[in-house]
Amino acid sequence: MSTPRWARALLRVVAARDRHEDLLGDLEEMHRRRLSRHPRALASALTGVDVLWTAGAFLQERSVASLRDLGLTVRHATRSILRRPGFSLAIVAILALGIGVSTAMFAVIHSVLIEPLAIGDAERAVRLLPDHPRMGESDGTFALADLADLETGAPAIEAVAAFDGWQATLDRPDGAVRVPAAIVSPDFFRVLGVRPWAGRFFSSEDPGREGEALIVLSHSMWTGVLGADPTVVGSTLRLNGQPHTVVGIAPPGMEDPRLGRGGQEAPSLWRTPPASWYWDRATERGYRFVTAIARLGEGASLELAREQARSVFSSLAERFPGSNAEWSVRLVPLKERIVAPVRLPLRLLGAMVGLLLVITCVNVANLFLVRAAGRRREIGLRLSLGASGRRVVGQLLTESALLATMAGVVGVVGAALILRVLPGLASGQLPRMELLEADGTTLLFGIGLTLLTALLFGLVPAFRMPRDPARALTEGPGSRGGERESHRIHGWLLAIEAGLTVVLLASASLLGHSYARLTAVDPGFDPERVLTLRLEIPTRIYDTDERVRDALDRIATEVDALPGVETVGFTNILPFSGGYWSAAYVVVDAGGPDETTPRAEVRTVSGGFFGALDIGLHEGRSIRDTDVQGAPPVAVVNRRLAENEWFGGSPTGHDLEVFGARYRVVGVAADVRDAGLDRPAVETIYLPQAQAPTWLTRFPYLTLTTDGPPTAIAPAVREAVRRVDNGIPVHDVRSMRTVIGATTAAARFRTVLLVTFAALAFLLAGLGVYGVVSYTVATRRTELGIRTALGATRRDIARTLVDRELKPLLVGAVAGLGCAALVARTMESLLYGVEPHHIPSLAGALVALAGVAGLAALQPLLRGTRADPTQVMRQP
Amino acid sequence: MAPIHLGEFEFLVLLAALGLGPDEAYAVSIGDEIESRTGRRVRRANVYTTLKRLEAKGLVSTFLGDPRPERGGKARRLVEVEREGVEAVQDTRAAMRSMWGGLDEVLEEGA
Repeated sequence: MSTPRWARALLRVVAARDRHEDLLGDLEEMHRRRLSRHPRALASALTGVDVLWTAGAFLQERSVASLRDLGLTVRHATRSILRRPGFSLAIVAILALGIGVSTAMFAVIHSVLIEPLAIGDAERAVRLLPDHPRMGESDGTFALADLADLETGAPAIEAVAAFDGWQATLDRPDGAVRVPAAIVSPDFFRVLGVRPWAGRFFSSEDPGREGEALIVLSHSMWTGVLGADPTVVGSTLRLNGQPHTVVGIAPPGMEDPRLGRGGQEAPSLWRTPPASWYWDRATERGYRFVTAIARLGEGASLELAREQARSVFSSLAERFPGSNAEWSVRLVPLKERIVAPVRLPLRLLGAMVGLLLVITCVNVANLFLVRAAGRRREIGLRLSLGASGRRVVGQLLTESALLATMAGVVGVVGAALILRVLPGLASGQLPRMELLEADGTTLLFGIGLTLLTALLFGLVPAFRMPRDPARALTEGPGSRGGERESHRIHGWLLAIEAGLTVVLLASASLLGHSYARLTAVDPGFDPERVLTLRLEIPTRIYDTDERVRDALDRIATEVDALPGVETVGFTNILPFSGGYWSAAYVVVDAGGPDETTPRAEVRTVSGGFFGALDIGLHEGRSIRDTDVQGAPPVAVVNRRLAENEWFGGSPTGHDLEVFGARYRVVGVAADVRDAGLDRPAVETIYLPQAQAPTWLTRFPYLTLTTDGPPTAIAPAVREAVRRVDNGIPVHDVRSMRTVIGATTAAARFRTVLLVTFAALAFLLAGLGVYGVVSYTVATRRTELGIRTALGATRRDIARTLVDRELKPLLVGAVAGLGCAALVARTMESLLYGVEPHHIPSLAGALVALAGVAGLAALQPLLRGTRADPTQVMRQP
Repeated sequence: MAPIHLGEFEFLVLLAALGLGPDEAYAVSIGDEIESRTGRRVRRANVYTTLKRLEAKGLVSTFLGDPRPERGGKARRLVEVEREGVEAVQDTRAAMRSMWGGLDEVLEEGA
């Protein structure tokens, strides 16, 4: 009867192999002794206890030893890192760059694309978009009456909510504050599925129509403007001169700007609808002015809701052909709507950052390889002295892990810093930026990335361990030991790096070209030296049309008198401001009745507007200050409308009907690309400000040409407005250049990011080439010396080196060019005026890479061709 | 070389190994020897770790003997006390003796 099998197995596991023989023998001997004295069960039990004690002792000893080993390895690795501070610093810097940028990008993608919306049952919240054959992919608005029919006619839709932007001015003892706000229907918060942070939200029982206005504050408005006043719920705020009762506070993070129309500011408060919503607007189907969202019923599928909604709209089109013909509706998940516009750019940037990370790893691996070649003797010595291969690999991995950890710490801290400044840089360019933070997930990603990179670049030199340690020992510092295999690895790494760099360079170049074309587009007017600002003529004081017009006249006179101001003009909607106001119009004498009512953008302008923006005239005259009430009503149309309606003939002298009034066309103005540089001009009618209804002109933009930098005069302009009336708020004071710049900011943002990544990759590629060529020249000095001695010219030597070193680079670059062409196709929708296969961009990337490679290789190549044969031959 | 000071159990293990001689000293017999002479319970795991420590200090060396049937055909790991080990025993004994001087009476009174 021998010892229990488990006991023997346990000893085998815990003890070193060379102790198995005697330990198992001792165990057997003791067990037999116990069997002779005790019953078998007791003997087995005693032996079991004995084995457990023994195993415990061995385990303890082993863990102490391995801890000591680890300490030794770490100490050794630290010493080795400190011995080459320049090299170590370079590695840490390059890796930190890769880890930092990747981690920050991950955090952005995670919080924008992956994190769920801060609203309840987000998958049931949908955005409603009008669908009309003449309308492109854009935000759109609905008529209240159509939404009411949709809510009752589509059972799969539980509730529909409407909202509209609202300009509110908060009266405070220290002056008026403009507050971005929204008017929302009572169901708005229910549709979003959010709970009040304090107080309550609106309900359909709230007094509508004639009742007092109620408001819900955003959390940031409450903490910011109102200083987190705990008594605010139930109190009254004066907005636009009227009392508004605060009923609740919304939860933090609900201020998503893209819930509103694109490009608008996040609302700071929401109010119940004004009386006007319940009068004519409620029944007027042609008046589409509200944005709409809806909540699907419990368990209702999006498909079903879509089908029902479309059928409601097609029946409306039949019942009201005048206003609803061809109009339908699209349902898009809310998150999709918020995130969709940035998905492609973000994915592109994410992919590019991924490439950059691979490039950094490849680069570091290459540098490590170069260094490993210099350490072959050291490693050979250690192997000869009895260190196991595993131990040496462990040593190399510990070194790379230490370097990667340092880089990881620097990188993650850098990422946190990037994330802190990014929301400021990306404001308005990316949605959901308020949710951005360096959280646990980001940290985990950073740590994972660090480990991965350590493994990636640490293992490469491990493969390059000398197979024959004794031979490695006899190698001189310049010998060719293992050169061929390491040359192959270098070649591969260089090819990968070159390929990825070309992809990055070509993509950045494409975006750069596209951005340059976009900003070179003529907006249709001259934005230089133009200052713009928005005014608000308060209803409570300026309650008649005459008073509003008088106020505007007095402001124009005051501002015009300022030194440095050349021309002053008003408009209801500033080009590139994101605003729009379209209306149906009728060409009065246009033959037979038109099937559909055409629509055009309507601008009310003062006499100075065309001069202030230097908008050209194609024929006739522009709007003048003499076009006032009582004078014949006139209009100017833009060229596009003139061509559409009069087909090349002259519109001058013809009549148009807008808002039920008749205007005679007196001139044709140049087209202005109102909606953005990348969009064509739309049909536009300019009406004299003094002849248009004042509800259109109450919130005008003031535009003025100056003789110097436009913003320098801003304080004087504010002061001039204040002299007219201290209660008229002035806001959005910007130069016209800034206004246009805001529309290209998203393109600029992604272009700048991508160009930065490409520049980094470019630098790294140069560094990589330099490292590899230097290494080859150093390891092949003997060969080069011999060849020089045998009569090879410098040119021969240079040709050989270029041929061998830079060929993989070229192969990689050409392969990268193919990938770049594929990548370019995916980013087609981000490009303006540039084909994805834009040859100069692709060729430019290749030339740039070749250039940097040539430059980087130059110095070591020269060193190689100057190898002095006599000196080289004397070396071991 | 500075004298190596031994722990009490190390001292006992070395003495037992010296007494048994290189042909008979191994973990089991060393444990038995200490138990029978001092009457105290010896855990074999402690003998293993002590022997390993002594070997690391260069005081003993170990080698495998011949296989033995009573051990299931396994060999014993025999222990030979090195010269340094003998010196360590002598140093320890000298230290003890010098500490002992004059304490006989005190200890007898106390007993």
